[in-house]
Amino acid sequence: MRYAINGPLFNAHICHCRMCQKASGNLFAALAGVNKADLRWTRGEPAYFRSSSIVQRGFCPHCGTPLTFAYDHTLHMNISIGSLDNPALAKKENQYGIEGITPAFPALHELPGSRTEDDISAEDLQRLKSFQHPDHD
Amino acid sequence: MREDGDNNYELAIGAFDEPSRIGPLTEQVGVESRVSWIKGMHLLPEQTTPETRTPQDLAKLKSLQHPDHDTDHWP
Repeated sequence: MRYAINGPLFNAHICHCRMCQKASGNLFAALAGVNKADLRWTRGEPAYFRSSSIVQRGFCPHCGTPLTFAYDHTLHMNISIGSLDNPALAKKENQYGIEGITPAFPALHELPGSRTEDDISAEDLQRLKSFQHPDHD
Repeated sequence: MREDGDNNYELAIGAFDEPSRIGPLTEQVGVESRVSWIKGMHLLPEQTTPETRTPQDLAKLKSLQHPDHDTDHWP
């Protein structure tokens, strides 16, 4: 699954609302705005779930990656930041859906951290081959 | 998520009925690809859902996701 965006990303944000938690399976969804006219699907097409009376959410029909969040009658939509080739580019500006914030959230960045290669055996690491699409065409 | 040969599954925390009851979280893994803005995320300006929707949209908003409890019928 691939897409191309020929235009700016704007209002990168995270949303803690319960609906975004469910749709992403996560503590929050990370999304960035994009004009609908600027986004083109270049490999595959998303499947859609109408998560509410006013919103449709797109996801990869093969692996389930959340991809889009779109109101029916707006010129812009949101793309999931984790699905970008370089998620670090989308600098966050806002937090929404604060009513759903989880107690773990504020200290997430302070948890002890480890690198992938430190967590799996040398044997597993050697066998590990990603079947996800690479971060380039 | 389940590794081949592993007896345990890992479940998505957001998919629980009450994610707030899961925890405390104890570690971060895969930090080699952690994005830099994670550190300041909790300090970003905050808004509740009602503050970011027009009253018109709020009136129309009806979730079509499964509720956070069992039901006799679905959908």
